[in-house]
Amino acid sequence: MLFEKIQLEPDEEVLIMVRKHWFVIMAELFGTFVMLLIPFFIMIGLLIFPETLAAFNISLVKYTAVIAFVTAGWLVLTLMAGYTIWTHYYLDLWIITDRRIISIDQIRFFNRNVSIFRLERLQDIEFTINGLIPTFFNFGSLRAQTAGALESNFRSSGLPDPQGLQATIQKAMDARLKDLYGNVSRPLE
Amino acid sequence: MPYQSAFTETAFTLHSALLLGLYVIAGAYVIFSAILYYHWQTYSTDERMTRITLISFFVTTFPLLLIMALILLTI
Repeated sequence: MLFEKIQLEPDEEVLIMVRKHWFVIMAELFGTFVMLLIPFFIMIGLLIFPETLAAFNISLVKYTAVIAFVTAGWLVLTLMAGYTIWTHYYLDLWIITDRRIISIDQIRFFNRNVSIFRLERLQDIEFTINGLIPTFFNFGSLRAQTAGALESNFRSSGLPDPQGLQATIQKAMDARLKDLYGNVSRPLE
Repeated sequence: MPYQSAFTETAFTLHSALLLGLYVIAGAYVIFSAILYYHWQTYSTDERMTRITLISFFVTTFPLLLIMALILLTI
């Protein structure tokens, strides 16, 4: 499992684990669902307009077994595509602990990007909710910028309640800085 | 002198085409299942969700492959 690989520090507490908003996965799976129904749409179309097949002198009854075979094959392939989307959705997540943020980006199978940055290095965290549907369903993108010799950014889109997430990270960052430096709000660089 | 083809005549029947299709899909299915299993076992954070996903994958797809094989036997 994942936590055996990430290896949390002793006493490190996971505050929240965030995956993309359900609307994102539903929108992606809707395409797969439509693909799943394509053979049935074709069948219904051919039953409604039988003259199309009659023009080619083809009988549906004669090829029932072949049609069932091709439909089953199509369904297997479409389901495989659907499970790929689900896997990429589920394995793609942000883990926010009381010490760091772990951003896991499952791009494709065997293509995975894991970024870890410590809360005390966090310089700026910004959220964006852009568009009608994201506003209505309250999801958007979050961008975190860390301080360092080479400035680095982490960005993830389609996250649920980005404002709440920003607040959680900010609170965790403040607590972490207090733990490390007492009442000094920012470490001296 | 009668015309002689350099090629041996082969009959690529509908049955052969479907059999080839079944082999291709079954091969892709086996490889995909192994990849899916590996990713979920290695990278998932929730054992219960891993179990649900893998079981539902096999429950929904394996019978379809069986149906394809059975149809091929009846043709």
